[in-house]
Amino acid sequence: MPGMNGTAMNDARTPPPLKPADFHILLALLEGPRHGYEIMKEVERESAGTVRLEVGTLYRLLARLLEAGWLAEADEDGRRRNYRLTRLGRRTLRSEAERLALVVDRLRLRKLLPQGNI
Amino acid sequence: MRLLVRALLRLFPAAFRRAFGAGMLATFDDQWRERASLALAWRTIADLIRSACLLWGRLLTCGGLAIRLPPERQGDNVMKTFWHELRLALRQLWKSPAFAVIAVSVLALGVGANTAVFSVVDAVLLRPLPYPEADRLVSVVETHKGVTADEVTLTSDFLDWRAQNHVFTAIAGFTDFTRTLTGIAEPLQLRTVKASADLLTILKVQPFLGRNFLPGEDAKGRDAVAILSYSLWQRSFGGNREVIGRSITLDDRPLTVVGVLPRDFRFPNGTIDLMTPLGKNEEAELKRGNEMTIVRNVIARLKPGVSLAQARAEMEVIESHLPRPFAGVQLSVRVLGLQEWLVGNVRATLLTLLCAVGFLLLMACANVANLLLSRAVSRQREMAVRSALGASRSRIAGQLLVESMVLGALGCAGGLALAFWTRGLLLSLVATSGPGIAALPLDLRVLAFAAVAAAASALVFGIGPALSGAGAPIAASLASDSRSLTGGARRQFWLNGLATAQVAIAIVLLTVGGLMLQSFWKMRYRDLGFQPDRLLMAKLKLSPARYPSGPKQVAFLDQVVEAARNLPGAQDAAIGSLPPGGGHATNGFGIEGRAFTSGRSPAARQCAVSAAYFRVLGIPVLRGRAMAESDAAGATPIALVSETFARRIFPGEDPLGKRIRMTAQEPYLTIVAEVGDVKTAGLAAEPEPVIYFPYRQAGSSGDPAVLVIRTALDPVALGPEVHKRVAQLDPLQPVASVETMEQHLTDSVSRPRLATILLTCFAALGLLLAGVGLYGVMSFLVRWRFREIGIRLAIGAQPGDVIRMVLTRSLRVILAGAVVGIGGALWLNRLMQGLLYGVSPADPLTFGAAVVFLSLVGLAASYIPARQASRIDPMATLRAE
Repeated sequence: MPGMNGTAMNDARTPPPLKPADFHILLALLEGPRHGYEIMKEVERESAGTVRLEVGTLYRLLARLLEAGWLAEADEDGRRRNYRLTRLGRRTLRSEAERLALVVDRLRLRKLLPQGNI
Repeated sequence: MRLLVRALLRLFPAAFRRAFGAGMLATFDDQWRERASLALAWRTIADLIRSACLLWGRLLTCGGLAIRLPPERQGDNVMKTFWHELRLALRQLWKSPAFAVIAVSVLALGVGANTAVFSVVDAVLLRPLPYPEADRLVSVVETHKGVTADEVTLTSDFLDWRAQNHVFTAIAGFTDFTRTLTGIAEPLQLRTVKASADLLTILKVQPFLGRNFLPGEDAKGRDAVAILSYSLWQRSFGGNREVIGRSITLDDRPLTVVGVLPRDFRFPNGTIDLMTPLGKNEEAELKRGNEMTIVRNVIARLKPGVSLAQARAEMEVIESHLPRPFAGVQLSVRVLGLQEWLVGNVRATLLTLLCAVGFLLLMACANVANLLLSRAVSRQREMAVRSALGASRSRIAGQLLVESMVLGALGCAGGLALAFWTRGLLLSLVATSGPGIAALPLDLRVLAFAAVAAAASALVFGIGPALSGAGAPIAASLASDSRSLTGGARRQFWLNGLATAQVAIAIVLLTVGGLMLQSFWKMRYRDLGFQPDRLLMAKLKLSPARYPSGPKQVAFLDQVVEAARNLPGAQDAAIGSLPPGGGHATNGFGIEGRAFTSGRSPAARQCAVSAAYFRVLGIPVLRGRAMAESDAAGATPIALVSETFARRIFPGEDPLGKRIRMTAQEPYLTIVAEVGDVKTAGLAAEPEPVIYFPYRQAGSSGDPAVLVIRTALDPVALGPEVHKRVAQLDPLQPVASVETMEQHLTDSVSRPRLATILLTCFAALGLLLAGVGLYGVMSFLVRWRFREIGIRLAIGAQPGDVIRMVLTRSLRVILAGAVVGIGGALWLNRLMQGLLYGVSPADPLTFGAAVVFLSLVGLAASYIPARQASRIDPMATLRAE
């Protein structure tokens, strides 16, 4: 099936849906490098308190995202190391956002969500 | 809290910790600064433990931290997932209560014992002394090689140190004395100390009330002032602030109270009721003539910027230029950190205990791992089902580790309860041997230690089962019925290994305990040089004003001895100036025919005794004649010397008939006998030379006088009677202390006692755990070979054959463990050489007994499953096929 929807759904290179915590961590770094505690606060704020990361989980996930090549270590100030999005990470975030947007569109069509901006 | 997080980080795989540990700590710091709360603390602890489990799970199953993105959803709500896993784990435990109870109690035992011992180690070795900048405090001691093993300092040398050093801000000496306070409701015997005016300055302590001593008050004649301890002030003066300036009478001497010490102040070496200035005649001391005295302890504070090594170097130089008062005596000086000096002797003991108790925890871990492995058998299908339903291997391993953590947490809680309950007991054991420990606080440090010990154990015992649980092939597990056990051989290898390790550790613990017991027994009952049972000792501090040396004192003491002899239950009584083995060999004496310049004479302990002293204590007269009642004031002055005296002062000569004297002014005493050595103070140390002479000839029994009474039955009952009789003879003369020889010995050999009791307990627990471990392994073996045994029985094997088969199996494990254990024990026990007395660390008897004992217990434990096996109904087994 041609069209944007088809490519997003069927492209074999498209990663599987991101987990909310990973998604929010990537989201938190969109505006620039941040260190651990800033990420923690930003995730909580962005998700309106629905995703809350404690220090163990945060670093476990950071390790995973670093391994996946979506994050990289940025500069260091004092004891705190900053993390930044890589281009791959930005792309992943973008495709996840598109996937979510698609889901939202479909739900709107089925009247589960109201029309217009939410 | 930060400490706890740092401790919990230890749970993470090392690679992960290296990469992210610092960042995690920094992040937590930020978080804690902004919103510290109990909720955050809980969340963080739970999250850290869970994350560590998940990471380990991944590490173990993927063979590295190579991280891929697992398809499962997790991490969106930490607490929710964790609670879920936790509930699952608790449910699993709830379903098998017997397993849970055994595993948790075994762990509680291990963690509890470790926590208790750690709390002692922490209180004694790790905590700074309760003074400001305590690490700048040092102890300075003089050793007198060739005379005495005791570390005492000549007053003259102390004064020269004070005058010449450039490394200390101040240096202070102090010596403790028992003195009598009169003029209050009833005479009171006090632990007092004579101390330099600088002492409180050095410790940076201000009096709670009044003032410190003035520098001038150190001199003899100007020292009629006293500072009270807070508790004495409360007890005897009702906490009245008017006490400052009041006059009190101490040993018949009037003193003015000038201050009260703070409530929580503790002297470096224990509790003190009252302090007075050092009161030395400094000019006379510096002449190093006949007036020489000693100072028991010297402490100093390093000047800022001066290191211990610098202080040591300078003190050695000063010491090498001081005049030598005695011929043939090597003086040297030691400068040690105050804490090191105070705990020096205890360190080896405590480290041995910590080692032993660590082994105990290892055993507990092995035991629980044992249980988990056998349990994994029955859970194999559960795991296979979960795996088939899509749980990843890492997830299953993680879940198994969470279960281990739950066990660890429960064990930790139980262990803390155990440590809490045994605290009082332990403190009473430690208080008699440790340097001034008032309490064993169960604070955050100890809690953190217990938590880390439990968590580490959980990882140790959880890894094996997690690996084997997560690794089971699905199809095989689902297809097979519950009795055919895949992976049985591998598991059996693990189990055998664990049981062998447990037997090995038990052997180490048993030999350590056995050696300690033997050493203690020898020290206590064999090599003392006298008979310690059924002896009562009462110390009298005679008031110098009313009983000066001479006939009046002798007459009073004769009355006291006579009264004691007539006490109901008393067999015999005697008097001496020192308790057996007490005192110091620091008094010089002269020998007829040998010239010593003034003050340069050999030294020995000097003890004035009554004739019955040797009989009452059971000290043998080796040569010559015993002291008699007739050796009184008018008769030829005599002396008896100890074996060590004879050997050291008259090597190769016969001491009998030789004449010695204490000072140039006194007449010569003829040596009439050589008596046995007495060892009580430091049994491990060489006995010191002693001169005994009749108190009637000396006109004094010295200070204090020690009354020794041999009783027919338990001497404790006689204590109050002694107080009463002495009070009848002279109501103003209090009895300083009454103790049985057992108690006195306990005080001097109490450190071995603490270690002996604890190590024996550990050995017993080790034995118990080894028994339980073997039982577990053999039960598993029997279950594993259930069908095989059934078939064997069906085709004619006798129950006896089955029992023999299981026991042989068990014996093989025991012997393998024994070989490893003996090797380990031979290597490890060298560490405790210094703690042993009269026993070799490789004592074959102890080792043999440990192996035999352990084999018996192990075989007994294996007999239960063996008998079960022999009763398998062959028909039932075959029908089930």
